[in-house]
Amino acid sequence: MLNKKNYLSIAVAAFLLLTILFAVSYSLSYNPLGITCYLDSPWTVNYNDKTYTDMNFKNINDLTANGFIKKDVISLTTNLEDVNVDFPCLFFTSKYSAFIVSLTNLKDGTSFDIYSYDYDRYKDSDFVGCDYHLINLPEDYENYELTITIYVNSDTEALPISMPTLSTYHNQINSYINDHIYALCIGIFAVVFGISFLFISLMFIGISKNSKIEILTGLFCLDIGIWLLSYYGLLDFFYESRNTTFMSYITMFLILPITYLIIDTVHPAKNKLFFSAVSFINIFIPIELVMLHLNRTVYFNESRGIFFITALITFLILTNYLVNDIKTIHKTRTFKSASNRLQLYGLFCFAWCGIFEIATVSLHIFSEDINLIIKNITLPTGIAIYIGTVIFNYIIFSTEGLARVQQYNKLKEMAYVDVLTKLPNRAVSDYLMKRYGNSTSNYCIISIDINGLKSVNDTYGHTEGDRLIKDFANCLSENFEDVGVCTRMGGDEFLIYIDTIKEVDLKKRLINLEESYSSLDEDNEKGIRHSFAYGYAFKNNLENPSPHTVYMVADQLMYDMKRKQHEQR
Amino acid sequence: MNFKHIGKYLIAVAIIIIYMLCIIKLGSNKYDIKNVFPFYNIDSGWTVTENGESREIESLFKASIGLVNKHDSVTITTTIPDISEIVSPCISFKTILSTADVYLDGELIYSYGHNTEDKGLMVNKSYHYVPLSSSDSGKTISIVITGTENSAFSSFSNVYVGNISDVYNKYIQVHKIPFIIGFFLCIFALVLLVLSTYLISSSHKDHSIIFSSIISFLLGAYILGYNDVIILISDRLRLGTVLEYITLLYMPAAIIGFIITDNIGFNTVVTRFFLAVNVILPTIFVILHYTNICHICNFVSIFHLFAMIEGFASLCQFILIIIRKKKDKKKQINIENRSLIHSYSGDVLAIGLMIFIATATYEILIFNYQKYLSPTGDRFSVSVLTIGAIIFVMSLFLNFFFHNIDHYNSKALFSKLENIAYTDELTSLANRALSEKVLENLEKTNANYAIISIDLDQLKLINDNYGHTCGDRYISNFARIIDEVFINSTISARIGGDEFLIALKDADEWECSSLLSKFETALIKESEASDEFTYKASYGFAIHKSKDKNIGSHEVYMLADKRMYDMKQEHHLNYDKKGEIENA
Repeated sequence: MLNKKNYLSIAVAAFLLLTILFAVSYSLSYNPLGITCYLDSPWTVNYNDKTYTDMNFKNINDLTANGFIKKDVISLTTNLEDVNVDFPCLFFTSKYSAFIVSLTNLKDGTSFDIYSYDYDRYKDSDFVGCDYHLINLPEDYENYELTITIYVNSDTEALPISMPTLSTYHNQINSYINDHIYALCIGIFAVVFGISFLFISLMFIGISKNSKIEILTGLFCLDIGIWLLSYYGLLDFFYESRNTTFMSYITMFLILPITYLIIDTVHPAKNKLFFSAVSFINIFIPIELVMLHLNRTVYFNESRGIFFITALITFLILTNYLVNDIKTIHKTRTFKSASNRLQLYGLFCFAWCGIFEIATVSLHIFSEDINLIIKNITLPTGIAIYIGTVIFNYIIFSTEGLARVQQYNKLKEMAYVDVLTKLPNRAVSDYLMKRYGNSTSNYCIISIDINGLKSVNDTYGHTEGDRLIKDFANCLSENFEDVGVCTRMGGDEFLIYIDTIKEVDLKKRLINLEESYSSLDEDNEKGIRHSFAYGYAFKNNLENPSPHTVYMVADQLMYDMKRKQHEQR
Repeated sequence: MNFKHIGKYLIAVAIIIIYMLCIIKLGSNKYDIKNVFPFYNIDSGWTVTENGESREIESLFKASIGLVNKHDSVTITTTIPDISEIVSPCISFKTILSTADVYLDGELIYSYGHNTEDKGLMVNKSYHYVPLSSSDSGKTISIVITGTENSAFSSFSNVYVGNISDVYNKYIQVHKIPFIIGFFLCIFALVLLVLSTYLISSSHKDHSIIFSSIISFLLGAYILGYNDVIILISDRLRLGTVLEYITLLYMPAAIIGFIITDNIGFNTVVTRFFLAVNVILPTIFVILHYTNICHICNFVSIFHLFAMIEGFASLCQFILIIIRKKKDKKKQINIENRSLIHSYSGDVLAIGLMIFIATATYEILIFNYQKYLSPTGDRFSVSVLTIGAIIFVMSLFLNFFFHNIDHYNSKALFSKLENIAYTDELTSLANRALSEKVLENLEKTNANYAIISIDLDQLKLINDNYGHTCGDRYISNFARIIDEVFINSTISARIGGDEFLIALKDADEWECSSLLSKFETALIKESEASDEFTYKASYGFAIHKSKDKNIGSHEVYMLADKRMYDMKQEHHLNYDKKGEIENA
């Protein structure tokens, strides 16, 4: 199975893979130039009208026992070091809180806001999402005091913002991209793949038997692609949007119904009650959560728990199916189910990655740094695996389909081609006979019988007989192939169907045929005579003609000629 | 073409159009990130100084500076607009293969590229962000761009003045679509490579997939490099500059490789020669570049010429092949009217590739026209090649889909066809093809089996005297008898006009003899019952035992045939003795 050529190809593929991976990661890496200043201390914190000075940023969380609650106001102030860079820029991320950044002039105490995030939404008691922030500072920032006033909009254990860093603008933005490059790549890939797949499935909606699952797959890829991009805050890299967090939750919630529909299509549930219960859970709960959010009753980040439980249930169902599947894998070995099963495995990997990510983030198993790494790698990998299985599925189909088409063509040849002469065979002749029944043209049928085949077979053996037939077939093709269809009915009988031909032309061709065939006598050492008898008839020469009667007339004429030939010998 | 087909084509075309519109819409400016601060795209009010001559120009876009060569300098000067409201203001522009110096009121505030040029290396393509101060409004700013290669550039990029964040976002927005598509193609290539390892090792042996992935990667890398994505998001400026050249140079080789392995019909000596040329030449160019003998940008024109010639040649060949296929198809009698069986997939891939090559050729033409002939110079515009790339990848997708359909639809017709292929139409027994398959199998498994060869007597006489219809009836009746008597055979086949073959697994001499005498009895009975014919046949059999490993099925058949022949000779003598044929 694996010969040298294949080993070489696999080696080449593996080599290319590694090269490309290396090239991609090398070309997209970024090394920050200049200083990056981490603003960890000293901070002056004003929390709910109590002031704390000289705090380290990490310790701000310790100010409360139970975390910060909604409507808390935290004000952080610090002095900025002069780092002497072009385009000084502040960077931090925020979670579910609004804030305003302002600068206070150290000399005269005037202050002005330089950046505000969703303060209007906070005032309206609306939902505030998560985002990353790049804040350009004026050139003389070292003369100012930086104040970040946080308006907490959702109960949270930790401080809603991450530790700010100060560096040049390019460092900040490119480092951010660099940290998330893996997610960016996979996210873009999923979105484009999903859209393309979706559109192509729509094109094939009536033709392909797998339409439903193909469309679902396309939707799913699109959905998780958008989810990945908005979850890591990469969507606002391309598009203006104040609702990325909202979008990330919607797409996340949509994962459930779509997953369930996919599972259902591939492996329909046998138990009706079970089916209804699970559909209710999978479809109505996400819708309900969205409604609650839009109603401003319970926001997404608060109802997350319910969603995760629902996801867990669906995950368990999926696992159950897969386990059953593996158990019965020997019984239901049909191709169709095998290929779609592959998608379920891919889905399983993706779900597993999702669960893993949620568990590590919520349960704080690992340290903050490892958490970050896991967060950046797990989900994109899960998605990549899933899309990989989808593509794999279709590649298998395509190559199997190709093999099958080739087999089909071979069979077609076998069915309709005479093995010895490569002319169309009797099946084709019968088909033509039927088809000419509807023909309006003055078609012509010629019946030809080779003379002396049986005696040649008996005297010199079948090999000589075969050669006789083949030679005749060749002469026949040469003279008639361009005007009509030559068929071998069997044994020594041939039929020619011609759509239109002038009788003069036909006679000429028959004479040519006779000459070229009998000329083979000269080269024949065994002294075999090459001759044949023929008869032809045109449709218009008969009353009430059907192809069959035309054939009969031609056949009769052929026998007449044969008899005459017998008498002449 | 009937209406159903037209309907389906229309739907397909409609969906493709919607898809393209979506892409265009997504790439449009409508959803761009809004500018936070005042932002200027300074197009007018420039003074251009070339070779000591200054002139005012209306629009930077249509500057008509001509081709800038090595050591030629062009200076553009203007006044800075009001930037007092802007935090972290900058002036930004892009240069290709040139050094840049920026003077504010005569004082040099920014310089780029001189070190690289002094070392003799190719100066990178770069975006420059020159920091200004909010108090610089109204000052005079001069940008001196000096070419470092021949035919370095013939136009200016946009010059933006604004907040650094706004400027950067603007660049990203403009290159949104190439960004997305370039990344997609690269990742797609990686995925295909991973999957190809499986495909090659399995029975499919489809090597074209490696080339599909190479093409995809080269396209993606080219799009990312050409559209400045690499130099925008990373600091690998050298790679970002060179990437577009290297990928471009190797692309014809990948395409030819794909064509050869995909069996579209191109695997000729000429094609392989072109493949060799297209791999060796670029490698030479790359070596020349990295040894600093001749920078790679100088080879672009040669490459374009080559590519155009090969592009046209391959397009012509494609068209010829399609015409030839159409001619062949016309000659074929299409008995199966279900045209879904028709393998669209090969055509789809070929068409996708054709479109891609056409767009690439077009792009080359436009690029050269713009650079050398048009007043606007070599500005970045809608990249036709990007669209061509998407179309090629889409055709890969479509290829998969069509194969999917082919697979399902062929299954049903497949079994029907199997019947036709393996059944003798007249008698409904197996035919020669199937008998050969069965015999091959028996030989492979080295089984115990017997072969009986039966030949009808006097068929020719009947055909000659009473016509073929009678002859056919004679044969069918015989076949019926054979079928009834040898009902438990491994195979009963009609392998010639009047020749029949029966194979019996695990049969011995006794069983054969008894079956054959049953056969004789049946023939006599049939002759008595019939008022048309007397049924007479000659037969012989031979046995193969497992221990005779070296004796093939064909030899066994020949032995049976010889014995049948011996019987036939006997019958002939008998007939001659009788002198006439019994008939009704």
